Amino acid sequence: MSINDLELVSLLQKELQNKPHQKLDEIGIVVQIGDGICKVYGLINAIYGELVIFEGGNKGIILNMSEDFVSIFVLSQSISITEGEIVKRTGEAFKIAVGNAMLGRVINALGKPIDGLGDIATTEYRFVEQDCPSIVDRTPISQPLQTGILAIDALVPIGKGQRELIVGNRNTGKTALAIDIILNQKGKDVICIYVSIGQRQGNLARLVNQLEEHNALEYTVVMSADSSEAVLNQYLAPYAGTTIAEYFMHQGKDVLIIYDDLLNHAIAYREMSLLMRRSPGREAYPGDVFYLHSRLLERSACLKQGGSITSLPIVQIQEDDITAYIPTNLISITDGQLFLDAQLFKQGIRPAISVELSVSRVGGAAQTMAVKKMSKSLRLELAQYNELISFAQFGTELDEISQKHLNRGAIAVEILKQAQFLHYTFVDEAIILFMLRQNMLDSIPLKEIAFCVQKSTSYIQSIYPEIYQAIEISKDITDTISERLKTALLEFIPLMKVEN
Amino acid sequence: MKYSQSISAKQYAKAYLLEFKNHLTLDDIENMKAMIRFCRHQHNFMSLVSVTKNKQQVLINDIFQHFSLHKTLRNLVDLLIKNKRLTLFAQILQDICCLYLITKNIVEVTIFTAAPLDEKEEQTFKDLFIKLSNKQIVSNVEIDKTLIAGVRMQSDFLLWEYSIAARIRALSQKLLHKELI
Repeated sequence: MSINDLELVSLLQKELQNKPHQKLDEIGIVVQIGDGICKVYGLINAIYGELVIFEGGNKGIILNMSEDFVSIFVLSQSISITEGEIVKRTGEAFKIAVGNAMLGRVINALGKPIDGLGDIATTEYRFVEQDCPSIVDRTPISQPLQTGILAIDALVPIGKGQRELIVGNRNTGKTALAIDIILNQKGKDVICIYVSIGQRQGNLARLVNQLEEHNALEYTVVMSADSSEAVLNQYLAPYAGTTIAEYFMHQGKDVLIIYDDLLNHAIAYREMSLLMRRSPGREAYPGDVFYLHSRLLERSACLKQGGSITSLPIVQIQEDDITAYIPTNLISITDGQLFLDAQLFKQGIRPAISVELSVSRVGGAAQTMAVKKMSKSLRLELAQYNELISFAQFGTELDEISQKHLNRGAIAVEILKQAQFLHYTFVDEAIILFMLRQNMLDSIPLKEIAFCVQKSTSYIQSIYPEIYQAIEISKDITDTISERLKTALLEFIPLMKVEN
Repeated sequence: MKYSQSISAKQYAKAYLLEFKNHLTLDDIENMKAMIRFCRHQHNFMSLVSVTKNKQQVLINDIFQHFSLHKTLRNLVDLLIKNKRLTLFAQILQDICCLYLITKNIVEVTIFTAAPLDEKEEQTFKDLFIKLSNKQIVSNVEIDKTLIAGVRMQSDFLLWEYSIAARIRALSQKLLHKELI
């Protein structure tokens, strides 16, 4: 936007009418600048994390304090900083704009729009670093967060307010899984926030397109701190994203936040710490790298007065090494993990969730009764199957019972396969698991099982809507419903055989 | 200077002030500053370490006489020679100056002005700074045409400015951040 000379003169006249300050500014002087970090002499009363303003107009955050100097990381250095430049205290920590207008927008770590759709009309500012909710404010997790993915909802259920880590090698479908979960929140009154940290811009553009295509952007905020951005922005992005999530949570809304990924976040923090000359520890990470993530993830909660933040941090590992430094830290902080296995992915089992290594510590309490009842022995069956399959590979002759376990396991694996963008409701999931439990799929060829289970749910929904609705309302499969459902499905199975 | 040396220098300075704080005046501090400025360019104390004891004493006497350093500092120099830490002397003086001003609640203020100030105007600004900072001040006035008009009072850690340059700067920042548009 341009501004003409007359307007400029009037603005200057207005500026000159301002009265002098009745207080002194506390200042410091830049003695060293480089790599986005400034060493400043002075600012004697400054506090850690305080926002400071350079005389040239740049802003920065104090992130290290020594006896004689403070280290300041510069936020979006628009004008060059010179040695000897004066830095003023603001007395405030860094804040970000929040508001409902952020929904459907792509923003950077400072809350500025980067989608070319103009300014965001926000009026409220919140501190990026906030205390996490106290024990008194929290309530135990009791509401399920429907992911629409059968393998998750049945085996590693996630509750609202839970923190579930998604861990896996590169190209194992971590982001795809997260997108699927976002897409499934449509119409469920859950606000989604996707925080991209140190990712490629192309990947983010593709993700935004997918969200737009599926009309999911309207209830989503995408925050980007891509790999080309300053490390400070990558460091701030998850905290800023959580601040936006808290804004919605305090309005009583349920929020799902995805951090993609926290390994890049830890790497950005390592870079900052090394630039600040902090002592490097294991893998050159600073000593407080655990606190970096614990204070972030502790902000996810289910509040007594309503509202929750469910967080799904993603962490990439190498060579399936789940015992690496950052993944183990995150595993210990979160309430469970979804381990995506590269081998399963290559075998075509997608989502490639490893049943043995995935766990949900609190989600069971929030699981819908219908799904909980039907998936009771599924984990055990899959474990038996995985054990037996290794024997079968040696060509060992198996007895009849073992063979039966194998066949049943193979069917279970087939029903857990789910294409991207295909989501089940909890009723669908309950019906599918019911069929498995009642051995109704035993006569269906393995290749046809995925097709069969999809058809079965739509069959019940269209031909027997009263059964479907009964499950939906009661959230349970009672004995009466069970009988009726069994009869209906026994009608359906022969139809599938005819179709084949 | 190494971090450990800077810590040692501060400790010597603290110890010296504990003993002789009340013997010093602002003139003594000014003399010390002249000595510090000299040391920055000459590194004379580095060379003093290597000369013979007699010569060293003569040179130190000359330095004390030349800069009119307070006699109590001689005790400090003797202690530093004994501990083989004479090279820290300039840094210790620097720390003594800083700590002295802090303990006496004095700040050194430079009043930058676009046009020369008369005595009354200067006093008005000094009084304003004293009122705002709640500290005693030692001031000097410098002409700075880049202010265009107005005054800027600056110490090491405090700043007060009311000038056209500052207003233009504020306006440009507001325009850059689209706060006015």
